Amino acid sequence: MVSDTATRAVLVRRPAGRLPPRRLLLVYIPAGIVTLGVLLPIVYLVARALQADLPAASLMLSASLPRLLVNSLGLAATVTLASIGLSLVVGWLTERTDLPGRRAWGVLTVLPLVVPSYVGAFLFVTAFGPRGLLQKALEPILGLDRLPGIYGFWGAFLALTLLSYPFVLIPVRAALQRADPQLEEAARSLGENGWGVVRRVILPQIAPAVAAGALLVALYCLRDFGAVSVMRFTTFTRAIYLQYQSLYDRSSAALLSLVLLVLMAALVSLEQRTRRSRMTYGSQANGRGGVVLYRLRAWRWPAVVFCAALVGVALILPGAVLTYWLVRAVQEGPAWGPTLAAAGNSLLVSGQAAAITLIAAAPIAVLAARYPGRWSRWVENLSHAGFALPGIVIALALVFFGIRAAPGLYQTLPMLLLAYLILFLPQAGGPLRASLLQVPRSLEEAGRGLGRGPLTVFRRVTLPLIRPGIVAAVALVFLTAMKELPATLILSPTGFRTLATEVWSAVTEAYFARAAAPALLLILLSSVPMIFFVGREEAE
Amino acid sequence: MTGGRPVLQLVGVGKRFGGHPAVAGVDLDIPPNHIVAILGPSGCGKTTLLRLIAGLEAPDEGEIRIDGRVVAGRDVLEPPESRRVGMVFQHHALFPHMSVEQNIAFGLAGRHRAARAARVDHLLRLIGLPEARRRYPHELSGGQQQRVAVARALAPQPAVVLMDEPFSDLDAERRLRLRDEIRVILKQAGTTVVFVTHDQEEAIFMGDSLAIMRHGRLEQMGEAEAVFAAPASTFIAEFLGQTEFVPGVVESPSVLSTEIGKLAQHVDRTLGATVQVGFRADDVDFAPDPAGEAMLLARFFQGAVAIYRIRLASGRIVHSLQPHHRLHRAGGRVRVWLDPRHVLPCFDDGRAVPAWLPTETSPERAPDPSNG
Repeated sequence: MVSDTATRAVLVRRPAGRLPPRRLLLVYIPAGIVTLGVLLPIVYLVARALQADLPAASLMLSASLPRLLVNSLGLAATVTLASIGLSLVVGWLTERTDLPGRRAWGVLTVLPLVVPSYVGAFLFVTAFGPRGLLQKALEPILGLDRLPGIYGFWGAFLALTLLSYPFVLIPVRAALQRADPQLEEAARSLGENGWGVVRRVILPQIAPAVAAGALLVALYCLRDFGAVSVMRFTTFTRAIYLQYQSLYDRSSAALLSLVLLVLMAALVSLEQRTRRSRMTYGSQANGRGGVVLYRLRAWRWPAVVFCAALVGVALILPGAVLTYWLVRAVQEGPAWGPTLAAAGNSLLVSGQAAAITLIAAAPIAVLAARYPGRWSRWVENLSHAGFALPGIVIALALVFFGIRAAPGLYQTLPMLLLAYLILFLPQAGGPLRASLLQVPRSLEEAGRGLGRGPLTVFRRVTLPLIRPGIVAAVALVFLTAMKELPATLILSPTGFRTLATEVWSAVTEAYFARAAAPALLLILLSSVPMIFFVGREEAE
Repeated sequence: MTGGRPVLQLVGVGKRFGGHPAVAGVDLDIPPNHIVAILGPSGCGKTTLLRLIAGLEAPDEGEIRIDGRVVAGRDVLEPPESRRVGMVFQHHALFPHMSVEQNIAFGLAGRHRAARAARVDHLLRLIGLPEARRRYPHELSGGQQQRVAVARALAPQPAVVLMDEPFSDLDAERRLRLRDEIRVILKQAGTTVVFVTHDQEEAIFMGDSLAIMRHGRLEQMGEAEAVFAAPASTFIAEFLGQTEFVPGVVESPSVLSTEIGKLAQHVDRTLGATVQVGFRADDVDFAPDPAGEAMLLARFFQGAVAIYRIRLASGRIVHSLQPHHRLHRAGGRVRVWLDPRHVLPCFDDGRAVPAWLPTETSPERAPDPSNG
């Protein structure tokens, strides 16, 4: 029993309309600080861009902007369209037909997602390049001494499409699984034939999923630095990097970053709008077993060949090329030392990034899940800026920020960690918020009613229940930080090499064999969350 | 209501959400070991009232006292954990990562290990689930989960137990059995309870007294029988037991005239005034009569009784309840009259008007809209 004096001590004197001090101290203020921390470098970027010498800048922009817009948007559009086409066909084949081995194809066709874009691009270049492995294999037979060039648009298109189409395929398959087969039966009973059912019932049901996935692909293309650089196709990210490297012209790099930011922001706001409409769609879907699989008959084997070709080009071939380079590396007398050192560095910074990002994401997730309102929505949206920010832009913003505001931090590990924090805050915030939302508030209220204070209730009730979300957040940040290239490239302290920069420098210097081991490590590490994902899907 | 100093007292409690009053001017005194059922349609503010008592919301005005101690009022807002209130939620809110035993022991922090174990044992026996001690909530049936939730709320010996629609997740049959068991458990524990529901039958069953809530206000409070016989407003009359209305004119000090007959009862209104007379299907009788002005529209046979739907000459529809052995065929003309054998509640502008039988000398049986 609590004594009377002790009970009196917990009395709270509270002026009407004010927040309880504990909530202010533990949630609102930290969330505000993190949001400001995320936004501050961008402010510096804008300031730097506005400092540009106007006549020179406008000359530069008028010369390069049209080409960059055409290249970036054209690439994003074509890759997105191709991804939609591939995903609709593969999604339908693996979910709704009697395709032989459809479960296996379903798993294999999403796996290309684990290959970082620069690794994938490097593998495609060494396979299909003018004097690549394909040419070497064909030379004795056909006598070709070089293949048509892969560099430029087609190379970037090929690499990005094959690496990013699963962003559409995954939601399309989920939507097809969710779609209520009774709706299709109802349509048939109302006199629609097969194609009519697809057009009037199935496609409208999966359209929101397609749109959401398509926007992810478009964002991926606009944000990508690795693949376009390897393929030497100049989009915004590559142009920014080249401008930045030239050292003379950082204000035009800042200007280009600003233009790219606007493009990304437009796409993200579109993405959020479709996400909202997708929710209303999803809620009415009432998944039930008993889908009648479409019988492919004569098309069975062509369909298998199609899937095999896709998996072959997107997965087997890169794997084979990687193995080839690995064997070459071993034959050449490998230098494992640098790879091991880089792996150690990668583990170190990624681990630290995961820890600080989790801590920074926590108050924002609590705010969004527990105290919804206009204020918390603003904080959450702003903290998600990292979703719209290409790594190269963040890196540049932090360079400007470091030079102007924190010279001591410039080219130090804390600066790199800050970049990771800004970029990956949404990745940690998403799972945290989702897991918090899954804990009914009444559980916490029941705990309070049983005489336990809010912190005890958090520790004993909430924390054990959101543990899966915490694990997911840490794993996601850890693995994406591991793969991050442009920010690592620009912000790493001199001489600090990670797996990502190791692959990059080997590829840019055309020491392909040296890239093999770190690339393989990166792919293996990226596969870990994929295994979780596929495992969970199978369990369901 | 009598019996000891009130355990829970609400004085003029109000709460607004965005300018809209969810709870307004609620006064409530609940004596020890008493179960009050708060009944009202969804959105009437009854759940908000519970949350205010529990400390999950802060009142904008008024004062809440538990055991005589102010827990919410001007400049005072005690957090839920120091109010000594136990809560039972609609979806029971058992901690899914804790066993039954751990759930029940959650609120027993700071007690001696042996005392805690003894208390848990006692409660497990009280809810009749001693064998479920080490099971987890998902391994229990819905009814068992709710019993554990009650045990968990009772464990720290709270001053008041608050229950928010605790049976609404269950199917009809299980709900009947469970509410019986829970009432016995609550009475054995000798605890004071505020029970919130939108189901009138459940409220009448669970509550020692009934409080009817509407638009954030308590419209009437009292024993179920009293509220049923003399509702304070047409809303309560309709909400409790499907009351129908006909206009009645005060013809003489002891005669009230309606289109379905004259009633020998006094109404506290001047001669010639019109009131709305409330009646239920068991107050209406009829007989087939080719000269009658009413039509027998339909019969709803329910086994022991049958309900008849009748259209009066005015076009008004009324219902009559008859025993199963007096079956009539729908479709003929009938003569209809009121045969209440008790005073019928009368209303003016929606509020009850004092009414009494001529045999009574004073309006003792007049409705007492004490909380209205």
